[in-house]
Amino acid sequence: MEFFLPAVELVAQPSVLLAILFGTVIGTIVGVLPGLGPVVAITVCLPFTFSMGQIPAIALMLSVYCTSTYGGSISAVLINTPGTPASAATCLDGFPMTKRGKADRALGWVTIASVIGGLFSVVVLIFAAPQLAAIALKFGPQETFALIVLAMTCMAAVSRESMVKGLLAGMIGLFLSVFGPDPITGDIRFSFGIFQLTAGFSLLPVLVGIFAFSEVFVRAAGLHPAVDVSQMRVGFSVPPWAEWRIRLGVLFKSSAIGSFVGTLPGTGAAVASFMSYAEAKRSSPRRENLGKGEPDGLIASEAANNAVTGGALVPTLALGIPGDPVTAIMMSTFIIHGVAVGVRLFVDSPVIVYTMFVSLILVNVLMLVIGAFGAQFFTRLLRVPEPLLMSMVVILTFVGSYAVRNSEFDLLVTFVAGILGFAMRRNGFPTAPVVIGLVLGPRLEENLRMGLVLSDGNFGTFFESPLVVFLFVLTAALLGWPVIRARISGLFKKK
Amino acid sequence: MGATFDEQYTSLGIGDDHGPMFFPRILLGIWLLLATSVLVHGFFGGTPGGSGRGQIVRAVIVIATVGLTAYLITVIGFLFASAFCLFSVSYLLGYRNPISLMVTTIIFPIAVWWIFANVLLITLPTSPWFDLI
Repeated sequence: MEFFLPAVELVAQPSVLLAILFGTVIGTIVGVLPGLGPVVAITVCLPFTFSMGQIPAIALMLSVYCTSTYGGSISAVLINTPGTPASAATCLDGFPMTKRGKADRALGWVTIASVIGGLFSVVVLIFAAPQLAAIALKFGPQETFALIVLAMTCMAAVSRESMVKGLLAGMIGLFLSVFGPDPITGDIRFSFGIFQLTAGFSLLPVLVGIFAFSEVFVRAAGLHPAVDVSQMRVGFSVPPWAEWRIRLGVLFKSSAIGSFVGTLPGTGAAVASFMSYAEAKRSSPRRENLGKGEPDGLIASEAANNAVTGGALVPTLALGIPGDPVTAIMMSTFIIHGVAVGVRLFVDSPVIVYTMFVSLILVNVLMLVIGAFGAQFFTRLLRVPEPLLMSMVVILTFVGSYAVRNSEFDLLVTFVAGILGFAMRRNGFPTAPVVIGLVLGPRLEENLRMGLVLSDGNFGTFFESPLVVFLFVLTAALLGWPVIRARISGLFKKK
Repeated sequence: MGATFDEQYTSLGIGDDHGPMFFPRILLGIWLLLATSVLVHGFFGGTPGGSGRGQIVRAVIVIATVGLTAYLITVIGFLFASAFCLFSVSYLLGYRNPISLMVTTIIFPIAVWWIFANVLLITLPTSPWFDLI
């Protein structure tokens, strides 16, 4: 309560409320448009934050993050095409409802489930993040190093194509982070005589290039399927309480699954959504109707994917370890605005932390209002031609990367990063580990070197603490999992 | 990897047993191993499927156009370069409605420039011909 009231006062400022409203609308719009998703939404909004104050900028980023995940469900319901991968499971029951002429009701289910899932995860965030930060305050360089190694491995381990490609992508990101001054001695590395490289790569131009530009290039190469745009007009209908009451179990279970999955690095909203859907299919009393337009399916998918937003912020705020590319970009934006996320944030700037909590609550409530009154408008957005949208994304991405430090060199960096992202996606390499590697690289190196300095170069100290050993064992298990899994399935086949 | 043993780096990190090249060498070593594994796997596992030749050519032209835009922003300023980008990228991606394309090409860059210059007070690169744009 000590920090809650000052936080409410800060959020109640007109500039912050306006930022939240703007972010909620833009986030939903970008989420609705198939294939764009939260990363592009945040990228597009990035340049707008540079001239804002600290709190409005944070509020804007958080609102875009939450609502872009929700926006994806609208196109999933209406045109059977998820706006974001996180809403893919929503298609399974959302579109059948639309085909039965119940699109209004389907939008009601997904909107309210998204809001409750989001609010549930904020509660988890409020209770879990300070506890985790308090524990992490006692971490030394060895513990932090082991934790970052584990987070990086998690990112690579869940790569859909292959773990080796995920690890390689992580290495690329880590290597990009070593350009510029050495974190211990300050010596300049890998500048190759280029003055701008003496400071290393600025994070945001690389991130937005890898995600936003590669998306445009991927579409130009026809790797992304074209969308059949609907011409329908729909409204919004709130499902009655009697129908909600029998589904409260699914709602809260899905919210809990989403919040938990969100805290695990590299998993993300799509994984949470499908896990929750699978659980509903296993345990729901109406499971035989799933896939035919059953509200349980919509609730399971949407409550879970929106609950990921709060969950993913737990390690980001408490440990400074982003769980996915979206939180990585948000984290770097926070740094630009003078907010260093991580363990010290809760000790040094508790009001800012509570401001984030209050903003998230407000965003989720506002999402309901925007969803209810904007349904028709968002439906019309689906008719905007994709080529125009893509070229607008290119322009806003250039503005964003240039405005970080008014550097023309950053335009070049963004462009080259876009080509790198495109080449990786075309060849089945995940791009998320590059971003996480780039963000965590400096801390990984600093903690490794600090640990060695403190122990007079003795690597043995990295295996003394039980926590460090536990984290390394977990990392080894993750790395060895494909081999273990292959052996186990081989044994079953023999039998 | 070879560059990390370059003469310019040998004198760095005096007083620190694990100097500035310590961490990059670990990364590059792991990178080398993983890249070899991917290469071997790719060699025996075939090539990834993807788009046709025509679409790849289109992607290359779009990439070149975006690269040209990055260059033009520094030469003719944001407003003109972004108008060029919007028109050409939209056209290359298959948009053929001339009126809508022209209207968007004119209005969108001006709107973005106006918002950034006058509302957000962020200066974008200007052209050599005009003071403001």
